[in-house]
Amino acid sequence: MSFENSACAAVLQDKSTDGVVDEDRRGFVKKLSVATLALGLGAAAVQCGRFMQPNVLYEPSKVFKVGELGKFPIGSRIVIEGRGVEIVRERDGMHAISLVCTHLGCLIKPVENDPDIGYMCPCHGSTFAHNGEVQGGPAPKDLPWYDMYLDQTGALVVDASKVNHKRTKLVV
Amino acid sequence: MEKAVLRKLTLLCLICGLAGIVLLGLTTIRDGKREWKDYQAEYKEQLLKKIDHARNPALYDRIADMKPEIKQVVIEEWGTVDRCVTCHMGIEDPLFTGAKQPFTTHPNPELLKHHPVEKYGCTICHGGQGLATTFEGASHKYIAHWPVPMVDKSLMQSRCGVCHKDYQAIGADRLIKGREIFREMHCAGCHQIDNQGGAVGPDLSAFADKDPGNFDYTYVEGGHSKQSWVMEHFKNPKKVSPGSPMQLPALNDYQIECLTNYVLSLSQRAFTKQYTSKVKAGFVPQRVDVIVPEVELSTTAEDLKGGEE
Repeated sequence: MSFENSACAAVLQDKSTDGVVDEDRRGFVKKLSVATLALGLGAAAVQCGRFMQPNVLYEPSKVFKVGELGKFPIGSRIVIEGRGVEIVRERDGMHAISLVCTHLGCLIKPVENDPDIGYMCPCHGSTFAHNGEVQGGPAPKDLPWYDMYLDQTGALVVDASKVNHKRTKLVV
Repeated sequence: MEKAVLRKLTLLCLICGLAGIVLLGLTTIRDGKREWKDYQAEYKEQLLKKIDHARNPALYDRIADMKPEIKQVVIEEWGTVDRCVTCHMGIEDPLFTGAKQPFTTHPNPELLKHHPVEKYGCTICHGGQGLATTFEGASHKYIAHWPVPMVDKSLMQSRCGVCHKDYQAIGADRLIKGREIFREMHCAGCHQIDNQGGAVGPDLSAFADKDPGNFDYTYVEGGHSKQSWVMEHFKNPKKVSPGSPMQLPALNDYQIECLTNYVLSLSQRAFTKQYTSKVKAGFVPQRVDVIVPEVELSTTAEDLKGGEE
């Protein structure tokens, strides 16, 4: 693009030869430059921010199927291997409870045939009630319940990314 | 500096700055617009039509709130990450039987029941590039310089054979036939499998695990993949590997397919061992014959029929 040939340039050239400084034009160019810089930096910052939040990580999905409903009879407590979750089905519904100790993250063990203690951590002896409440030991928090639902194929799905704070059971 | 030059520089800076902004804008738009997002939106729409709110409100609301996201199956023991389910969302869902690609259900739901996607992923059987999230990138079709394309239908059984060595039990007719041909032609005279056989040619025990990048594709006419290399090698070993003493009687296409299936199933990867009791391969040569005999391969009517398919 040739500057001298453009009409705009010709006009500006005339004015400058007269010794008159076009302050409006100078101000406009200044503002435009600052705006361009700000936009560019802003967009670059946004993209850098995006880069820090990857679309996906190399880790197993937090939403996973645990099997057909028939696999979990009423009164059963079934530990899902490799996921740190136990599926408990009772008469009034079912829930998925985390088996990761809230103290230091050890995998806790369900305790069979005890009316008060449901879970015990083998590392430091924290004990939890059947509903996950801390009964004793160093564990600072109750065991969380995770969201659970039945999908359209009839499979039970646990969503470990969402904690079921209200501790509502899935009625099936 | 002259004023005219200064003005020129100012204008140049402005143009560059604006062009930079436009490019950044385009990158953002391009980054946000991915084909899998469109597929997920379409899947969501179709699924909402297929399910009933009254029957399972929790599921309906969950799907209605579904945001586009990359879905993946991480199989740590095999070191694979398969993102195929990002687009193939209905792969295990009977509601999508007969739907168009990529939503349609797996054509063999019975097989999928024994190999749940969540446990095995997709590329273990189908090959391709599991990490990719585009049609081209996943290697659905041959792409130059990507050495592990998706496994062709005719070679699917080679992947079954990686873990399953009892071919009769899984009804893998091509593997059975391939192993038969291997035995009939006395391939073991030169090639070893599991320490049995001659040592004239390369050991084939872990042929499926060999890096496709180490093959010489100079004389291969098809795509530069191991599958093409093996097929063409069996058609004409001397052409694909000049100087090789390997001799083969002329095989028909079906026989080549079976033999290719068989050799591409020979794997020694550690994870396959847990699914395979050590020697059920059935291949135990009684006697090792290092002289390559002239073999007249029997071609049955059944083979010819198979070859025509």
